[in-house]
Amino acid sequence: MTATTPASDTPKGDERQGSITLYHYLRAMLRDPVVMFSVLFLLALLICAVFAPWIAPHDPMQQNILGGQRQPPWSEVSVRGEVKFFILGTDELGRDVFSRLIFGARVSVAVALVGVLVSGALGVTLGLLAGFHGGRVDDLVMRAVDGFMAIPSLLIALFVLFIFGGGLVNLVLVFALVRWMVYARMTRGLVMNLRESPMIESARAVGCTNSRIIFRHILPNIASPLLVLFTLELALLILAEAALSFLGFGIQPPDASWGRMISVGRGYIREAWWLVTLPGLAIFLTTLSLNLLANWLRTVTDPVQRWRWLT
Amino acid sequence: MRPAKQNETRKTLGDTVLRVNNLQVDFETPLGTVRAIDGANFDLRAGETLAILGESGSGKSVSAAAVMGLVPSPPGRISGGEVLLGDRDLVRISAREMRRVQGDRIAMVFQDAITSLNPGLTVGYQIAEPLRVKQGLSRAAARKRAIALMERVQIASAAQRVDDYPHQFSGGMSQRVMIAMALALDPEILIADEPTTALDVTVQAQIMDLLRNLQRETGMAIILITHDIGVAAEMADRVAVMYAGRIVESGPVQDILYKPSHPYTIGLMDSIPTLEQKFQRLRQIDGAPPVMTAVPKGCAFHPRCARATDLCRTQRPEVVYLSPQHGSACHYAKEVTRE
Amino acid sequence: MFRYILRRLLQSAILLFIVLSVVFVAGRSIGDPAILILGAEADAASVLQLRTNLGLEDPMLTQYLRFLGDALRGDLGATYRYGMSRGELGGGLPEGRAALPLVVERLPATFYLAGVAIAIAMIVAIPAGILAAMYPRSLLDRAINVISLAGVSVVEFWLALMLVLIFAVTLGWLPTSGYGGIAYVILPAMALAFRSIGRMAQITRSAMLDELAKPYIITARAKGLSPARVSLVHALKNASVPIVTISGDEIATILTGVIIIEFIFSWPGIGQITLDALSRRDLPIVQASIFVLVLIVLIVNLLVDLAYVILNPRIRLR
Repeated sequence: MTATTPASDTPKGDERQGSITLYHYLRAMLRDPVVMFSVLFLLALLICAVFAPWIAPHDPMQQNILGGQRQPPWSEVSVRGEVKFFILGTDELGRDVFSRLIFGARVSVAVALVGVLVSGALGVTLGLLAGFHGGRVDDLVMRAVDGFMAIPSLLIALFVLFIFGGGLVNLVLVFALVRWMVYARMTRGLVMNLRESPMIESARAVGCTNSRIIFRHILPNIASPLLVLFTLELALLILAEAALSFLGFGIQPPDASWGRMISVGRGYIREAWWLVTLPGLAIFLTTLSLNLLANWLRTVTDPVQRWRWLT
Repeated sequence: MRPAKQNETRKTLGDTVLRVNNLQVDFETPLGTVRAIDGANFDLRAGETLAILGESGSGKSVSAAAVMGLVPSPPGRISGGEVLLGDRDLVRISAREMRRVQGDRIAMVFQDAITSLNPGLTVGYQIAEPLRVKQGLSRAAARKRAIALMERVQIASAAQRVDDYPHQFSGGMSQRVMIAMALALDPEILIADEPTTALDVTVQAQIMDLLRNLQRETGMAIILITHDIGVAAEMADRVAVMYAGRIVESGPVQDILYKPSHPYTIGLMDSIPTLEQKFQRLRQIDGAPPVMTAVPKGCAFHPRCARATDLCRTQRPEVVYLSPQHGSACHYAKEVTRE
Repeated sequence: MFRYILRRLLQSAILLFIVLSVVFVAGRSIGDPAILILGAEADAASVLQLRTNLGLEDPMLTQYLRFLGDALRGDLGATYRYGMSRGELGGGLPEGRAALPLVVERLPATFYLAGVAIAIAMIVAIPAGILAAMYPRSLLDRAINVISLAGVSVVEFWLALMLVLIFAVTLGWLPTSGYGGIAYVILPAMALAFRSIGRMAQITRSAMLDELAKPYIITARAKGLSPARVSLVHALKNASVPIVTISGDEIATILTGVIIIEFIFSWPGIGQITLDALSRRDLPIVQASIFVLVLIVLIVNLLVDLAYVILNPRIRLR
């Protein structure tokens, strides 16, 4: 071989995945309008959450008693001689619902994302330990998993928030407490399967250290089912945050999350339907998009099915 | 390949009960349509055993499924030909009419009896089910018949075992249960799809004996699907050899065994171990059977055939009759013989 | 099999013990019960008096053991708030009713609501899942996909409020909230059942599809049985194991989902009293409701395990 040998001639690390690149995934996504819409919606949501102050048309806290409960889709209110437009109406205190939704997205998305990361990190670590070491560690972890699984999550969450109070940080900690077992159980199962595989045995035979085996051989191989689980859990935590905040145990005023907006709007359900409907719709569209994305990820990362979607 | 009646066979032959004409079965796959059966012809007479011999993928099981009306659809489809039971074409009758044929007139025994029995129902229930559903027998009467059927297939202490579940039976016993189930409605034809492949050799022999005895008692015709030329030699009156969805040679079992006239059949015969050649290497057919999405042109066997000529590569061979009953789909059928 | 049941019972008992201990320890940290009962402006003497009466001056370990002993006898303390009366507790101090009976007497209302929701979910979801498996790619099959996707994406309390908005506020067909007959139970039960319908139908469908792909189905078809019989007798018998398991999960889910739904519809069940007690910091009631809810969920899980064993001859006959 000469020095001009094209790179493609060199053997690839993983022959199976050799030819599948990000490009294939993007192309598969473009071919599926439902998934593409979900991803675009989630991206828009993420941008809204990050850049809320620049995107929101009004100050979400700006009250205007005289311009309260204006109906969407379009209402004009003159504020001190200046005419303002409210695309999704105003709430009972005359605050702009659209802006509040954008700022609410910030809280809901942040809590869910951080919650998933923390509970995922905890669960995956414990699952790795249990699956990799087996024996007594495994026994202990799996007992804890079974115990936590047997008690309804909502009950644990309510009790812990009752003791320690609501708020962003406590919510995240509660999510870690009530969701870690899902990751632990899945990781353990995947690791158990892999541990006996010839790939790991040969890695062991050539003297790889445990940490090298875990980080180089095990984690990459369980990444895609975990990615699907993370997406599903993100949806679940958005719902959970909404429910806890709705009950008054989650996000505390003056922060606005979607769940709290519904909770407040509930009092005005007879006069102002949009105050309950719109935040709920935001939650619904977000979780629906996440669930659709998870389904799609599951099919395109499935080694048996994916050739059909990606090629 | 429809031989005239002759008197030289061992048994007195009955009337033709089943006639398969130019059967074609297609399967839709992601890689395009695959013709799993491409123009198969065979017939079956009362009281005889016809062995359909072939490797896996040759289409032998699909032909059994086609006769039974069990081609999975989709992706499968009978795209041509006829399956005549008496004067009725089973390819064209409705699903409802077909259900009156299945079990009643043609019954089937499957390869892996353990997975082919329902794990959630007792064997007694499964044997009695056709009697209850199709003949309207009472629960007690059906149960009594189930026990009698189990005794008939020589399951010891049948009266106690009738309420057991399939997982409590061994492979051989499960196969007996399957046979009892198939016999429940006294079918004229029994299709046995590799009935002993999953079993130990000694158990195999017992099951084969059982089938032979039952055939003598009931006079039913048997289609035996097998890849094992020894089984075919032992059980069959006539043999049809399948390769790549076609019947390449058919005839009375003696003709196939002693005067094979298709290179593929000869190859099969050569690969059987015998006592005399104990210390020799077994001969094998070079190459592998074709992938069904890319069946070779001309004679499908030509890439593996030592005698292949340009004719074989381009022209699909017609059946050549060596005797009224013995046909071979080879251009050189009259010349090829086993050395 | 009996040893298995015994072991599961023991595990459940241990879990209950752990839950009670955690609740006890955590419960001490929310503040002095005496002040919670008497109010922040109470004078120091009555607070001390009450603390002595309640045994709060004893060492922690004594208190804990007493708590466990009482709990064993079904005494989880007395409410700080509900139906307080000037009792003989001493010094004319207020005395509440025992917490456990207060919670238990809410159970019929909760079981009524949860029972209707579970019945709706099972009656709709299981036949729908079976039919979808029998006719893949049919309209019903696709409808189930959409419903279950919507089911896992919608949050119960919002669905409940939307139902109220449409059927109670706008159309005026049904009452917005309250406890009573059929008219009152429809909306909360539907809100509770919706999520479960999607999930149960999906599980039923895939369990049936799994079974319908197995070799014994071909045997059944070769017997000339009707498609209905092949599906409903042969496949369903074996698919019943996962179906029962998911039904048990959903019963447990509905029994906790009931907490929020009762709150929205002012349904006088255990969920309502739990939330109420949480917001009033009425620890004994909180303890009692957690105890009762966990106990119910454990019993449901145990029954599901039992059903699993009974439905599966391979396990039952070992």
